[in-house]
Amino acid sequence: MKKLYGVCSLLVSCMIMITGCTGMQSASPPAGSEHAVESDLPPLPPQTNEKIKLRLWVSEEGWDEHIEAYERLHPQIEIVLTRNRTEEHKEKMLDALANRRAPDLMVISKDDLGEFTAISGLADLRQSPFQAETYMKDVPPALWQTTQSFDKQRMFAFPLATSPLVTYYRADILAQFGFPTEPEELARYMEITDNWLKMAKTLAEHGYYINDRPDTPFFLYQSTTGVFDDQLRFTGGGHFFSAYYLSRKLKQGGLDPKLHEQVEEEPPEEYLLRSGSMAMIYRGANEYERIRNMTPKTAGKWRVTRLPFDLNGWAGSSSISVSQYSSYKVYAWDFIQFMMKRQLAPGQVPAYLPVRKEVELAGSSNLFFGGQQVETLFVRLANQMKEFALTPLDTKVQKSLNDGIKHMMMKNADAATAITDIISQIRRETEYDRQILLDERRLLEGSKPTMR
Amino acid sequence: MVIHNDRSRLMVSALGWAILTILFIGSAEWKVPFIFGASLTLAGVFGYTIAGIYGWRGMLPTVAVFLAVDSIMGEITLLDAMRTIEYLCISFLLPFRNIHSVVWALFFWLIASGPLYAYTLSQGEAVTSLPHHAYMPILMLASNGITGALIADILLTLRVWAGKKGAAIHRNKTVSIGSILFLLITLAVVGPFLFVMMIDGLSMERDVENRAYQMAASQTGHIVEYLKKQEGKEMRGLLLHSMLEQGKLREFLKTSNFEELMEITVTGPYDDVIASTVTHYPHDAYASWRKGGNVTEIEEGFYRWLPDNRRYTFDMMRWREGFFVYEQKVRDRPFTVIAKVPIQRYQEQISKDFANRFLFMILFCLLSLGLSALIIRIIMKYLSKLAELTTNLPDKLANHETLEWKPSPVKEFMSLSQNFRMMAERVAEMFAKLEGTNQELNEKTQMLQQSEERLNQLAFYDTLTGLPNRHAFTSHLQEKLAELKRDEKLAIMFLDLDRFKQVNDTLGHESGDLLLQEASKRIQAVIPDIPGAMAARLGGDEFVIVLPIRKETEASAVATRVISALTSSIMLDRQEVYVGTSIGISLAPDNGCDLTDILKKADMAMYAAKSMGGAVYRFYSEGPAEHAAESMMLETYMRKALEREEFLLYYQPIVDQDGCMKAMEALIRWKHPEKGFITPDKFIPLAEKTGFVLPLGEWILRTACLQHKKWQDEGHPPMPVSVNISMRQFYDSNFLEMVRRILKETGLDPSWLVMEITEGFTANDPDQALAIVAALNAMGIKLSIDDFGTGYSSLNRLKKLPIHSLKIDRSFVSEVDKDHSNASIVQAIIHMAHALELLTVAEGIETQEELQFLRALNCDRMQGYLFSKPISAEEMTEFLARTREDRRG
Repeated sequence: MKKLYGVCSLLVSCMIMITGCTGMQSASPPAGSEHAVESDLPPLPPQTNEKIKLRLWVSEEGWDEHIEAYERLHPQIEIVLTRNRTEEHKEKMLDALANRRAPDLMVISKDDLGEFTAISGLADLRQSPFQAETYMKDVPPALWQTTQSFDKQRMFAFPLATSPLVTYYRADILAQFGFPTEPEELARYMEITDNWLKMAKTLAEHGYYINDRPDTPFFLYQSTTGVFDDQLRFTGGGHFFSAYYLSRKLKQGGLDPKLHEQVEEEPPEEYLLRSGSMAMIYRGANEYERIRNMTPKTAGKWRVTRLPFDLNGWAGSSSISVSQYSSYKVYAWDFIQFMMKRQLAPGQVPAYLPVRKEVELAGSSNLFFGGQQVETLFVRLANQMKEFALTPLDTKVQKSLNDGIKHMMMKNADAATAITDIISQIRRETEYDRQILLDERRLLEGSKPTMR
Repeated sequence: MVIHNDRSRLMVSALGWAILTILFIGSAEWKVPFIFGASLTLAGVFGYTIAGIYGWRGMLPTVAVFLAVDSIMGEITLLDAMRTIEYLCISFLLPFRNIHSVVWALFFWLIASGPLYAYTLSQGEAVTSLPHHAYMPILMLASNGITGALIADILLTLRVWAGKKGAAIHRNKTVSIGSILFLLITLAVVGPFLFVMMIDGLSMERDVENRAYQMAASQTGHIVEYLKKQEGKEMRGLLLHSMLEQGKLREFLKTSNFEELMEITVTGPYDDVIASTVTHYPHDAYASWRKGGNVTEIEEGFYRWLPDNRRYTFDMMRWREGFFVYEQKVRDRPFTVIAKVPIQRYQEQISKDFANRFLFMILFCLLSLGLSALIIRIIMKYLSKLAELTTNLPDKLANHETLEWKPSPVKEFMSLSQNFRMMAERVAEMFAKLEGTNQELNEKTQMLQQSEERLNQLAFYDTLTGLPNRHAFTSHLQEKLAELKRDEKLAIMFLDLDRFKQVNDTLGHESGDLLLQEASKRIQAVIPDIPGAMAARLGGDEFVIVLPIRKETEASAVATRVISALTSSIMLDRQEVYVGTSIGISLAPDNGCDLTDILKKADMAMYAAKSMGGAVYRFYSEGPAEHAAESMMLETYMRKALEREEFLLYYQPIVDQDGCMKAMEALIRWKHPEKGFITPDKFIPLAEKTGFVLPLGEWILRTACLQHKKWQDEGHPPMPVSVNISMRQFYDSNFLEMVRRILKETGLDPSWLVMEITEGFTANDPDQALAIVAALNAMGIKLSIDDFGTGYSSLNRLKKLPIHSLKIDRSFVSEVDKDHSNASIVQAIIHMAHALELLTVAEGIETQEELQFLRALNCDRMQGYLFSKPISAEEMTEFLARTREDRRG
């Protein structure tokens, strides 16, 4: 019997290997390999003498290289790129969609996704001429869900990349005060909240901080789950107590970084990093370039590890949408397919799993992080991470939640009172909207609209 | 002509069919709206009319055309199919049993259309309907069909009434007044019923529209205000169909839509649905609400939308799917508010009300019609009895049948019955009178026929001999002469019996008549076998035979046979006599074709034959014998004329110098029946020569004396009357005797009689003349010398004669004022006469100048046309009466 199992296991392993090799050869070419990408794309419609101009709106850097690569492959297509400021990008897109003047393609970040889940104007990528569902198995389900409409009837964007929330720390400072410096060791140390508080207290006594704002625990906990569940019920519960407890401790212990020397024009984050007082900071994997740029003198001292309290947080994502009113949907979809097979930028974990695997296997060392293979870490963390669905109410609730926490912190309210009040407040504010949204979704599910 | 008429009739029939078919299809396709899809169609009227007039042969092509048009315009619906079957069936059934279309239509609806439609409604569109919706369409369709049949029946009845050929149902070509009355009453009830229902329906529809408009306008006003408040992200959310903003708007729409009477939708700038109270509509379809139906703008921004009619079997079901739409754009916002008010919501209530009214009205109509039918039945029953009683009334009355005039409680019928009864009685009386009159008339008619036959006999046949008379002969000869052909001849044989006068004079008139009868038989016996021959008696012993011949020998043969027949002895009252006959023959056209002329020539030939000794025949020819015959004929004529009283006396006044009538002269005239007046100079000389002057003179004298005595007896002033006496008469030995006898017979005083005699009367035997004159003078008769101056009078003798006056000859008087010679003679005569104490009379005065001259010569009496032409006795009587009146005056 054992012999039989052994033979079967061998056969299955061989099949997996063969399949994996084949997949890697065809679907996982090295990032930037134009040849491999070109051979993998479906044929475009016959070329015409007139040049196709695809308008693309983004808010992030790093698109030029990809566009050039694509245009080399498709000389008849010109990608007209517009880069909006991050804080204006969402509003511009919404205005353009309302006026039906939106570009053919738009890149939506994780923070804006909720605003697009319950509006019209974006093409359903599961419908022809798009074929998004053919890639469904190659995208992590949780990430796939982030681009589904609120009523689950449409796929309004295709995920290109995701970013786990990670802990950036100064190994040199931790080592100075006897705390673990190895990433995994430190992560395991910080799984215990008291250790993390102890470390905060110890470092704070010496002018170093591991939290850049008082509600950092809230921030960490919130990165692991959405504000609302599928029925728009407020998800804040047990972990909110922990977060409030830790935040209150930080506040009571005076463990917050002091910003008395902050220059008005300079963002607090940048100030703290530049001042060298930040021993630990929690940001998305895609932000490591920004951290490096802000603290170039500390190269080689930084390390990256997972979040404290054994949390797997989701920091951000990039998804691309096609305007419902685009005249070049076929070309737009071709461009999306081109982009899904490329890594957008360092630290961005590709949504398309074959490429993600490729990045992980590449295992390149990063000197800024002391030769640490951060990309591999990011992929690993991304694989463990569970992205969550965003709702139209998230933006509105997030602000109320932050204000409520600040208010309770100022009042120094006990956790039970604070959380109860906050939840009650949020429910009051959102109950009507929630009912409306749920009713609408029920109506739509009943009428099964074909377009929205 | 017959073919032409048939062709024209066929063309008119085809044209009528075509017009009716067009009207039928037009009415079926385009209906008169009633309310919410209920409609009135006149298709039934034309369909049943076609079925009634043309039968199934006319109906078949009509429905074929109808179905073809229907399939071209859309599709053939259940209604169209059923309608086709209905008309075809009824067009087949109509000729049987003389049942009206309306009855067949009702029957068809009860057994076929009604159940089928009810089944269709229960299975199809109206499955969720209220009960009213189940029967309202059927009710309306049935009303349309049955009403159409009813109107068609009325038209067909009126058509027959107008004298057109009967339709399939009216084979007998007659219409009872009961049918007409019932149909007209039905029309009078159903017509207003339909009209009232239509007006009522339209009014209700208008009311519903107003209510819908008011409600929609009011409620959409709130929504418009809500949308005006939307700005910034909220407005953008709406444009982006944000579920949140859209849901909020939908919630507001729901709260604004009281009682959920409407479907409210807000659309965006691209006709996209922003929000709607309806969830089961596809949003894009809802936005373009105009699609898939017909839109009618009722007021600005207010419409009525109905789905395409071809999708529905019943139009009312189509209306159930329709709605009113109120559309309002939001100022300064890219939104439009559309409020749909389903007609169904109103239709249910309105249809319920309308159906109730409809049923009530139908029951009322049926009650009215039932009552009308009952009344008409009563009236018609009485009228039918009356008609039955008065059928063949004249025959019944003539056969003296007893008629039972039943009384009626209805005043008018009672009056009508009485009138008929009285009329019948009167007619019966008249019949009785008529029968008597008829009998009398028959008798008179019979008598009249007999009289007619007798008159005919008298007019055309001689009563004595039975032969055709002169009139019949003249007509026959005239006819034969006119028909005479080129190679034909006509012989006219004139017969005169020889010695007839002697027989008549010696044996008497009766024997003469027997002789004539026997002679007639023998003449008749000669010619019976000769076609076209005719024997006639002209009068006296004159007979004539008309004989168609080809040769003269044929006439000769007949003449010989006639002579032979009459030559043999004739037994008259046991006495044997021999007469014989002379025959003169003239031939037409040889001797002419004039009837008078040819007869005269036959007559002349007869005289010529007679002059040859009698018992011979002679053809007419020009010669001395004919001249002699003419004189002889004239003498004969004169004699006959005296018998036939053809002679007349005319009187010419003789006046004195003052123009007063002092005497008159009697002058003879001969009025021949064929030749007219014959002047005395034509026949007097012959009369003197033949001696006829004696009887003629006697007749003149007697007639003049009689007339003169009559005038005197009548009271006219007596005056002398002159009568001319011929020499032969004067010297006749019986003259004086004759004069005395006449004077005695007439009773005339001889002193008033003047005898005029020509001056030569004394030449032959002066002594005898003197003796006669003396005798006359002794009787008191005056003597006047006539035509004095033309003869050779012996003055010596004149002096001795007791004459009374001299009458100067007209040859001297003529132009005496101009002719000196005549004047001298006249003057001399007058002087001489005066010297002898004789009265002078000038005759022939014609001019005023002659009168003046004679007056100057002192002529005593004057006579001539200047004063008066000779006038008849009747005219003279009038003249004398007038003269007497003038004198009295």
